[in-house]
Amino acid sequence: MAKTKEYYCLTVNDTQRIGCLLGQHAFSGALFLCGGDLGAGKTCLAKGIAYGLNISEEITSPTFVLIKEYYDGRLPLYHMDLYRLDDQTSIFDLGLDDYIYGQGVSVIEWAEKATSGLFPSEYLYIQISLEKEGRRLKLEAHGALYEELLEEMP
Amino acid sequence: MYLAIDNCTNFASVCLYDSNILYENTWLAKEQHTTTTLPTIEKAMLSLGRNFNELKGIVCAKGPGSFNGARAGMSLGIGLGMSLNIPVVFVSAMEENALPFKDSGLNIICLMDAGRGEIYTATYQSLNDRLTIIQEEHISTLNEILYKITCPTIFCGEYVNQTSTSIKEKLGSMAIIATFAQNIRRASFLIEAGLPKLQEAQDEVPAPLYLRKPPITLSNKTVGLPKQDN
Ligand SMILES: Nc1ncnc2c1ncn2[C@@H]1O[C@H](COP(=O)(O)OP(=O)(O)OP(=O)(O)O)[C@@H](O)[C@H]1O
Ligand SMILES: [Mg+2]
Repeated sequence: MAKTKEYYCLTVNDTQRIGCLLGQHAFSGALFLCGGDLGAGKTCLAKGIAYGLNISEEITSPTFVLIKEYYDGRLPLYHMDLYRLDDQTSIFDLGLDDYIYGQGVSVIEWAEKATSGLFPSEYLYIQISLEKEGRRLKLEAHGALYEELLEEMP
Repeated sequence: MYLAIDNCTNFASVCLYDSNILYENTWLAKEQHTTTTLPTIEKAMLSLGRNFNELKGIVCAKGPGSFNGARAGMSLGIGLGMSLNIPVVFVSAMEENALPFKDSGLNIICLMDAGRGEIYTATYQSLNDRLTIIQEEHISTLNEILYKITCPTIFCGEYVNQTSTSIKEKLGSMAIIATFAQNIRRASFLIEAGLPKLQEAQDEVPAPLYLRKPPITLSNKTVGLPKQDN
């Protein structure tokens, strides 16, 4: 059973604070896979992660450009969005490997669009779901490094 | 005149050859392969007073290495080949690395960083001053590779610079470590490996050497070159 932690985030700020903590604890090569409906708050969480990595550049949604790279923080941040990609071939052709096997931190929105084989076996899965008010974040650790990371979270 | 292009890792290399090496350049391109490679070739042509129309063939390194890097280099080669209507052939970056040791009489293992503690590797045998591949390019770990060594072996490739101490510790005098200058890939060796292929005019469907195969079958959209008609 994968180790999990859950957070209830009433406001955008709450979600970004969780992201910020993830960014502060992120390590070189960390892979954060985000799932959740349109407007769930994935990009919002990514903004928090960037803040936690001390990135000062403004984070905008990569839905249309697919991949954005930020280099002015503690670690490089690779922010990706698979929403617009409909078949496995185009996801594969994106060349995510160079990022997720690289030195930076990868945050992938709409990760559920890719079949699991495209990712390494170790990652943190973050599922965001809409509540009546606010959002629920479920963090699921796959692999020892991510379990340690979860330990460090409140 | 022939052109060789290697964009397979952070390092890029290009070479122009016409009976002799006219130009060679190897540089740290990081993620800037697409913006630095073609301008480098253009500048070389200009300084040599030569022209793209004089090219008779192109050799591209096909990986393993960076997924996007290898594709950038291959696309450039294929694009030039199409517009000039000349053949393009593809050579493993590991063969390019091992080629300088082809008359060593030893086994040659090439190591390249694959990230997350994994390594791309291939084993060649030097026999009668030629290289024969005895283990195709695949993904492995350093321990797994070293564990199987039973005869004197040359270790070369970019990843050797970082791992030479561990290799020496495990294998002692059985391991011959290539120097940092030998561990960099040079496009002139691509020319050396690719010329015979160009002369045989092998018709080759370009396929990057990608070793992390996804377990699912990808759709049937295949990429290929239209047949050359020369
Ligand atoms: N508690 C909350 N946490 C995050 N976002 C919230 C919260 N409450 C409301 N919101 C709103 O939800 C929206 C989240 O948008 P965001 O772009 O982050 O979603 P997304 O999951 O990235 O969507 P997409 O699938 O389009 O990429 C924002 O408009 C934000 O103001
Ligand atoms: Mg988004």
